[in-house]
Amino acid sequence: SKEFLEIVPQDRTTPENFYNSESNIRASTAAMYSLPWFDFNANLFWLAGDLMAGNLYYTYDQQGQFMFNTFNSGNAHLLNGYKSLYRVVAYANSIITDVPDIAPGFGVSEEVINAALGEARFMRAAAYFFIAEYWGEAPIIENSKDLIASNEVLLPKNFRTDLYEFMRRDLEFAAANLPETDEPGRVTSWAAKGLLAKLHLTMASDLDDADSAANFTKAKELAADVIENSGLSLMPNYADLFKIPNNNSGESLFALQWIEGSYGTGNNRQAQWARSSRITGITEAWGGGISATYDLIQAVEEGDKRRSAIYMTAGDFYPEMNTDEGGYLYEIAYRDPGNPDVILEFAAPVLNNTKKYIVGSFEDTNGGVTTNQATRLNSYVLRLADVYLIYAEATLGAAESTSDAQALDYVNTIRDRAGLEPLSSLTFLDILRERRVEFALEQQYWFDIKRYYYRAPQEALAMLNAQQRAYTYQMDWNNIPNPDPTNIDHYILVPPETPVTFSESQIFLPLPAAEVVSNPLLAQEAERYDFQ
Amino acid sequence: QNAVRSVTGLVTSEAGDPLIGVNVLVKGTTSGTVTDIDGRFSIDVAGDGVLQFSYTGFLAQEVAVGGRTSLEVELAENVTQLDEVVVVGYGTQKKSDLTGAVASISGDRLLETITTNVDQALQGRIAGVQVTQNSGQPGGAVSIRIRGTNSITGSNEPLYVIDGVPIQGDGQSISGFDWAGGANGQSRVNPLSTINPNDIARIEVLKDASATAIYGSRAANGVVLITTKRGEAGKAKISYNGYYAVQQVPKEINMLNLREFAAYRLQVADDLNQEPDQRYMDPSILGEGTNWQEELFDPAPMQSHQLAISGGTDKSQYAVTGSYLSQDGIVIGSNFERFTTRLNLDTEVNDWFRLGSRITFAATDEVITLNDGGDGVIFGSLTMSPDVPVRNFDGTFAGPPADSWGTQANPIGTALLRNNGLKRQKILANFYGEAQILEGLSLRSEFGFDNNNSINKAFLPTYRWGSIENTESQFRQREESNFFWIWKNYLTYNIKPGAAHDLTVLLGSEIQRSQYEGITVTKRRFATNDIQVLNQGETANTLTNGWKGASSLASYYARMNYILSEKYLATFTLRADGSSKFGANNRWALFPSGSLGWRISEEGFLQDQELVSDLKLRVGYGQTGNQAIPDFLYASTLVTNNTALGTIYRNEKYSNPDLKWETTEQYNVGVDFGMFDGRVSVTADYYNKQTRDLLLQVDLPFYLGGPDWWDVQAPYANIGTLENKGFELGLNTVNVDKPNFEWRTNFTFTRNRNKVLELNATGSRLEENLYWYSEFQTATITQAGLPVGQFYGYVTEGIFENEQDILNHAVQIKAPGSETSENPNGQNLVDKRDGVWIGDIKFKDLNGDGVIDINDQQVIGDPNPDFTFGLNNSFNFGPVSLDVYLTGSRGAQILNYTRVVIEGMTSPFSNQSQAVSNRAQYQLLDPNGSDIDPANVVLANPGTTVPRWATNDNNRNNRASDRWVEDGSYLRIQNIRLGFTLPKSYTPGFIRNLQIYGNVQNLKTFTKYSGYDPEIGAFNQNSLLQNVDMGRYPSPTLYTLGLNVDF
Repeated sequence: SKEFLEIVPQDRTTPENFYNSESNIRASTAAMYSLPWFDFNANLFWLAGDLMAGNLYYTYDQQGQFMFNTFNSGNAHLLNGYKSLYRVVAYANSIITDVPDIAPGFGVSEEVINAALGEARFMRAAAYFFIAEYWGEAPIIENSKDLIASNEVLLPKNFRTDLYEFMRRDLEFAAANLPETDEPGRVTSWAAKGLLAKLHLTMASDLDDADSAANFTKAKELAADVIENSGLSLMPNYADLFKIPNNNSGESLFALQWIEGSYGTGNNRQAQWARSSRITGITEAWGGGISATYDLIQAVEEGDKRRSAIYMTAGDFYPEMNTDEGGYLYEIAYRDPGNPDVILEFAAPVLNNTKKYIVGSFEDTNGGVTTNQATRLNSYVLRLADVYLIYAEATLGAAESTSDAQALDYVNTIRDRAGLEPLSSLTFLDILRERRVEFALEQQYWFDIKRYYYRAPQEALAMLNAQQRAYTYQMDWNNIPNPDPTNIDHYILVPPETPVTFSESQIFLPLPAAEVVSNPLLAQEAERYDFQ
Repeated sequence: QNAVRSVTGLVTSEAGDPLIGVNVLVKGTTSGTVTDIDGRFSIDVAGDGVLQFSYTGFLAQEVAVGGRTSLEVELAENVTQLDEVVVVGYGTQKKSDLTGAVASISGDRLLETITTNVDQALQGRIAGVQVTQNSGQPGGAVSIRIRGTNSITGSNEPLYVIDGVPIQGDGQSISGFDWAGGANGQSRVNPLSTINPNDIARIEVLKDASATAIYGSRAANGVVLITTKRGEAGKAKISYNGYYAVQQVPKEINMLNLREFAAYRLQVADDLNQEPDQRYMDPSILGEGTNWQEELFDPAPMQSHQLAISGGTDKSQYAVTGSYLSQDGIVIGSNFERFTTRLNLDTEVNDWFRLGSRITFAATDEVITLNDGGDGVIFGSLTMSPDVPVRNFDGTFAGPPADSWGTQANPIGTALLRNNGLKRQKILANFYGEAQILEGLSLRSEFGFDNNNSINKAFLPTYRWGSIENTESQFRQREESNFFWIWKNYLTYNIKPGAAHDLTVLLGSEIQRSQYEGITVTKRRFATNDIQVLNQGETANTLTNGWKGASSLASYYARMNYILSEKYLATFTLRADGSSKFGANNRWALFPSGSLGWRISEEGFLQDQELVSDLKLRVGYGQTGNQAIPDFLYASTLVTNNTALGTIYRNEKYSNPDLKWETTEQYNVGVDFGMFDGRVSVTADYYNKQTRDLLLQVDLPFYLGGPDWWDVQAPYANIGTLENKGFELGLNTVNVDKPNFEWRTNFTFTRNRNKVLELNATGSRLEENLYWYSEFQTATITQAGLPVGQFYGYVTEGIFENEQDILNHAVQIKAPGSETSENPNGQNLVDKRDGVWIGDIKFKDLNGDGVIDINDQQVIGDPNPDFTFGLNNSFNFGPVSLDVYLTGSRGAQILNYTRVVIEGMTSPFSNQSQAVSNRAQYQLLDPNGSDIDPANVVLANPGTTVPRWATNDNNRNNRASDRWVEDGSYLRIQNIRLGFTLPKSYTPGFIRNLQIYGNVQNLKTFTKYSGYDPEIGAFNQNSLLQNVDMGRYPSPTLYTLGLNVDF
């Protein structure tokens, strides 16, 4: 009979039955804060944002190629990052297409539907911000479902200006329809305005563009709105920003939301970066060979309180980690106390290891760290300090320097928190250096370099090519008879045999080979996007 | 003298055993009888009468009474087996009446090899059936391809029907290992490993569509019918079969020993400008170090015992068996244990109604180690540094001293402690009643069920092995249960309207339903490693998951067999199936088939000759389906995950309400040919199959959706057509047939050509990768015009010898600014760290554009063999029997990913194979000059095929290329069995038969393949990953001593 063959899924629901209430719809928008971003956060985010930008030293295999700037379109991390960002777009699109179709039938209010659309369009814009800044030209996917149903799956690239316009529309909608406050972690209209400010600043950075000045103005207005009206404020202590209890603190505008437990919904940064299992308590600690570059170290001013929250070097002590042994003291190399012949922690390439996003073990964090590369620490994408510096950079505009009091005030507030002397005027490079340190190892520096490049291509390239990113410390076998790996004086700084170089064509990443093979249109010229 | 009188007699086989139930008929009358338990009969017959004796499997005989009152008749076994009755699904048929391609194998033949699972025993035995073991793991999954790969993403395993109950051949998945970090390894277990091979009376393999169409939507991959032994009327027969075996790994791969490894490390450190490791400064003072392979592979015992009792009266028969099998794996820490019981009953309730049951219970208990896979123990035992001992002095497992890179865990510790245990219980039962309604008309009703429960427990302990420490233990328990039932009813009507006509009509219907559910619970941080029970561990981080679902199928079917004058044969079948797996648009489908046979040997012109004893021509055509796909594939669903923002619901995939069956259309032409009174018999078939409407996930660019579990996945659609053409040959000969010496030969030959005819409207292709980090962004491709799962990659053409060599070659890494008018593509960057260097691999510029890029890839290998074969020779010298069994495969290639791990030189801390001793070495023209000045460096060992050690391998020497593709042809001495049957005069009277035997299995493999075993199979039964060696668990060599006794 007919019923015998009519079997509905017994362990999952369908979109047609699910989008029937505000709480259900919010349970589906909540999906956009972790899973789809995981692959991106796991590698490309920091490979591009810190290794390629010259902040981190790491030479291993396909990851190390970002430091040496020798990767090509076949690089696995490039592909996985690309897939992950478009996965965010797909998650957002499934909400953008299905919810307005289904929810009204259940009597869900337009306000609830628009808030969900605002969240989805914010996420789509955030993903496109990365896509546009990494690849420059890429396809715009506005409605995945219709494209698939009509079998129009092979699309051309669109121009970067189209991507910007697409983002701008999404963010304008999000700013208008998202609430001003929400449960911790959810994006608000302030997050949308902050990201929109950053978008306008990026668009303005090509000083030859006719709309450059207008975009600087727009960026400044939006930044001011967020700073003055959002009610958010900076954390008093910089290092506290990267502790689990301060997830979604008053400085956070948009952060990826992670949880311990299983693979895909946790932050894997600690697993990638942690120096050793002395810190993590588990085998997931693959950062023994990762250091802040000599170049980044040079950019940090003497006395900057942020330094020990960015990277650890000899003598740094962290009472919050390795608590069962009374804290973690960073040594160049660490011998097994039970057997001094065995070295448990070897010297890192630049005699330091990363601290930002490193929080310790399960015991140290009240259960916030587990295996499966899962730590409960959120990943910042946009925080209030960024909006402060956006304000300053937008105020500077196309000028060589500025002494605008408000801009200086915002920059000096951030310097003050770092324990540094105030500045009395600002150039672009002043702001760039301040941003580099403030957001060091937060994957922002590549975008800062990009704006520099849009502004002054040759200077930006020259800066990149002059970086001392590949310098390492090695034991001084030639001058010291029996060098001791635990003695910092037995190392010497060694420049690389060949420098790392960037050319103009390498400012945008190549689209992943696998994607271009399956869609030859991507190898052709970009096309204008037809905005409806 | 011609008066009718009572005649008594005894009917025996040539060996003197009484035959029970032989039909005895007075010729020309309807009066007859059957022989009793002792082979005796009594019948009234005229003195000049003739008695006809007929018995299945024996040649009929006529005996003139000639006035005698007592007769002794010896029946000869029917060597030609023409009148053998074969099981064809919903009935039986005389072999001589078959029009489809059906192959049979008796249970006795299966027992000639020592197997844990019955499907392994089919290897090489049946033409057209390709059996590959995917793993040497006890209880590991096997892939069976009947006439080639039929489906791309759907299942390719045949439908098994065990005593009438269908069982899908896909292996059950267990938790695997990835949930606790790392790669998954092979996680499919064998669905047939719960069946005791000793219980099997016979197996029929239905190959062509004419034979399989009666199974409709589940039959596209062929059908394997398994019939278990039933009791026979007569004195109870008690038999014991037992054996003990020792298994060992057949081969070791030559890795560097400690001295060689130290020398390798010193040179690598020098290349890297790193400080040399003090321990290695003088390799000559070092020993051999740890041989991790020897530590991992241990000789492993195996034993099996079975007791069977069968018998009955002429009204009721029974067969009761019990068996126990225990097998340790050759990889330390793996094992398999099975206990089965069976009760088969048949009874005649009255003269028109029969009733019977087949009931079996099986329990298996197996431990699977993390074997195949990127971080499995087989890879681990190869790459683990020989300077680490297995254990420390205190007995704990040792590990590497900490350094920032060498973080490999002790593979022995991993094998022993990271276990994954699976316990299964199965009750498989079928009950039938058969009513004889009228002469020739019977109604049979069957109800069968298959109930499975399993518990899978996997534990990751805390440990500290050298610098490798894990302080968080994890435990996952997975419980699954499924219940399947089937109810079928069918009428069979046989009429013979006139002497020349014989018509059989079958009409039936059936419904079946499968219901399954399961849970996993993961807990962490157990107080101790010793108690692995869910009440332990921390509650806060408990992860749970659950699933539940059902599927159903309703069917109607009809079959007609018509025989005209015993010469012309016809079979027509029609089946209609409705399935819950498809939406309302395409729920029902029809599967028709028809075939014709012509027994030429029955024609008058072939009567007066001795040479040809049998000749039959068969042709057939039919359609069958495949619906072995997950439930609810046609619609969108929402799945859940636990996140920082609570439980989230996300769209799993895009829907396609028009999804429908895969349909396979098949033509078959066959001939059965016998000569010299059946001493030589040949069955040959040619077939051509096309599978259309292939169920595939639409291949979308990543910007629209990917295939990963967390993607919004592409919809499934019916796209593509696949073709399999092939030829298969079975040859049986009786070479010598003397009273004290018999020699028989059995040969099978299988050749299948597989080709994708079309795939997706966009002309794209399917790509399959191994691991995301493996540098094999496409390990295989599947596209129109090619067979499924072709290896894909670059073509190598040697090693760069000097700077000029690099500059003259197509650009692998472009030097910035090197474009000139003569050289529009620029030149290679010659740089030891960032560019191409002396000792790197030259890749061939296939499209001649001066640049080596993704467009310079091509098909570099084919995993499909040109042909496979099996050759068995049986010799009987009185009480001694000898079987020699060879199998082989020719022309298949293997993508040896193991070599990427052991020759890839990706980490300075991993041990490598001897092959790297021959890696590219440099020579400085000016010994005092720079070693990074390309003008000063040349290759010291031209002609080598192994590239240099490279810090971060910018040239991607390890990319997918023909460097890793090897010839996988092999000839294997699969089995040698020597048996000795004690002559009756030496055994006590209560023993009917006593045989002892010795058996060696997998004795020797002749192959050029460099890995453990050229028989790779499909990774987790995935047809796109065939013959990819990812550290496959090698099949052991098995030495067995066994005993069979009948009482």
